Amino acid sequence: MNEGSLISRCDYFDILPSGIIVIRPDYTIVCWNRTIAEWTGMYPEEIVGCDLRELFPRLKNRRYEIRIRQVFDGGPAAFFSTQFHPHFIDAPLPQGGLRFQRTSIHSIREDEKNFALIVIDDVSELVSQVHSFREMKNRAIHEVEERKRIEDAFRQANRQLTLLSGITRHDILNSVAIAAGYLDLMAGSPEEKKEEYLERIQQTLKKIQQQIEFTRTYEILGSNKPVWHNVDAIVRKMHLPERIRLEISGLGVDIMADPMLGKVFGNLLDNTLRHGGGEVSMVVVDGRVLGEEFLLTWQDDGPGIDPAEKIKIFNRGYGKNTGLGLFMIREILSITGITIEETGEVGKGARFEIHVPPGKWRATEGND
Amino acid sequence: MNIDEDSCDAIRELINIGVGRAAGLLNEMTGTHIRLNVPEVHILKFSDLIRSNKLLESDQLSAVTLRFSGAFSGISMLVFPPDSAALLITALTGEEIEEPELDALRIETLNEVGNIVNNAVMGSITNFLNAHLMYSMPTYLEGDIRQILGTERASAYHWVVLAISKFMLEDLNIVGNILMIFEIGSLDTLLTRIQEAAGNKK
Repeated sequence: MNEGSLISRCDYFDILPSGIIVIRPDYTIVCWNRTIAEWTGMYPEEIVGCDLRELFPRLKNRRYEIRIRQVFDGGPAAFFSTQFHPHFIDAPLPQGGLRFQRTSIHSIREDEKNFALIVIDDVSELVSQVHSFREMKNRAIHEVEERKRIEDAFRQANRQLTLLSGITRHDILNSVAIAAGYLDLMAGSPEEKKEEYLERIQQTLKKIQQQIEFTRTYEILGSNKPVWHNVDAIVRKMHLPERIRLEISGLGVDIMADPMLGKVFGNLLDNTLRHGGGEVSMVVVDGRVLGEEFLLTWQDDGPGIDPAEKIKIFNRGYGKNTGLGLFMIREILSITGITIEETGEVGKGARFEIHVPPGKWRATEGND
Repeated sequence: MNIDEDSCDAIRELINIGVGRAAGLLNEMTGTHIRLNVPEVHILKFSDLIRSNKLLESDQLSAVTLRFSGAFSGISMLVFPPDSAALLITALTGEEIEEPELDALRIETLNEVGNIVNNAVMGSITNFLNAHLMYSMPTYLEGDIRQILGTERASAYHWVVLAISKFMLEDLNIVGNILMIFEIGSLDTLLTRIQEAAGNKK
């Protein structure tokens, strides 16, 4: 078969919906079918015999040149994807913009001569549909995530409301009953007893006030999205009495927690001061990576906590004061899956271990 | 067939030359700094293929295949577990997506990556041997290794060159497999021709 027969065969390419170009090893165009003529507005009469690279200079780039040369050398077909080569040639769309193309180049050998057959498919519609699908999918994912977040927030709010109603109904009614009891006792009591009962009533009223204050704080817990907190900055901001030395180590991390995280450390300090009394002279706050989690410890040198009380201390209402401080700590941390336990020894001080799970902690920037 | 260490080394070197060229092209094309190397090459019987490599045990592999015929015949393919394939493509294209997955456009892109690797490896071998082969169109296939290879020609396959290839890009270290599956008698021909070519070039 001579080259003339290949050129005469170019007419057959006109019936194909793909753009077809045949070139010689020097990139001279041999065939230019009707589809590609319609896409480009350039017709075979003016194009055949021209250098394809002069018409589309991007083809001079090595990334094309190497692979096309391999085809001329009889190698396998070269495939050019839409993502890396969206416009193999410039082919405008009627509504503006360029056609997205998928191109393959094949080796043809005739009469001891090598040619390359370039097949170009217009995939503009496919690209548009895939992009729409991706957008739709991303929107759906975000909507599902948002829905899940709202459901979690509702669940949390519901749990808190149940607890709040428990506090307001049960705890405050209890306190009111106690105050009413003392009022009853006051009637007909001697003056010195009245004074004692009055003090008890004042204490009970104060407790009611604290319970109401707690409901206000607890109400907003979990209502805002968790955020990253710099632990070192939070701990350093605390105001300790002068007699207590604060030692900090390994806190170069951020942790993901409810915006009320500062209250956790405030309540831990409050607990140290209340229960350690004048014995406490030092608080050590330490952080370290433990496997995949981050372990934060708060340790004081006070009297410590009795082993029988270790689990109970985090229950609501348990303790010498309001019984709400450690409970609040546990609640704040639990929002992002962080847990707390007391592991100290009686006589050696209290030691609270805060376990931050993977994904909820990260090294502070510049502290890798 | 007796496969000596020299022949194995020669195939390893030819594959390494090919993947080196493929990496160069991918770098130029994507503007990334992908490194590609082949730390392990094994020659094994087709029947032992699935047992030999855990990476091929998945029932959802992504493969870009290229059939060849001529002096030696068979099929060359680049095979990834689908998650790795999607991850590689999103890294190469610089897309920022939360859950990489293969859609029509990304499959096409993987097809090009596979085409570049397959062509470079085949080019490296045929250039060295000065051989001309016939090739099919590059094809993307998904499924387990049996579905990818098809059952109709399985009896014709005899030996397999399995090259564990590592695609290293930024923090990613993705392992794919280059498989060259030879039809009966074809690996013998290839090894004989490699030995002859090596003898001539010495």
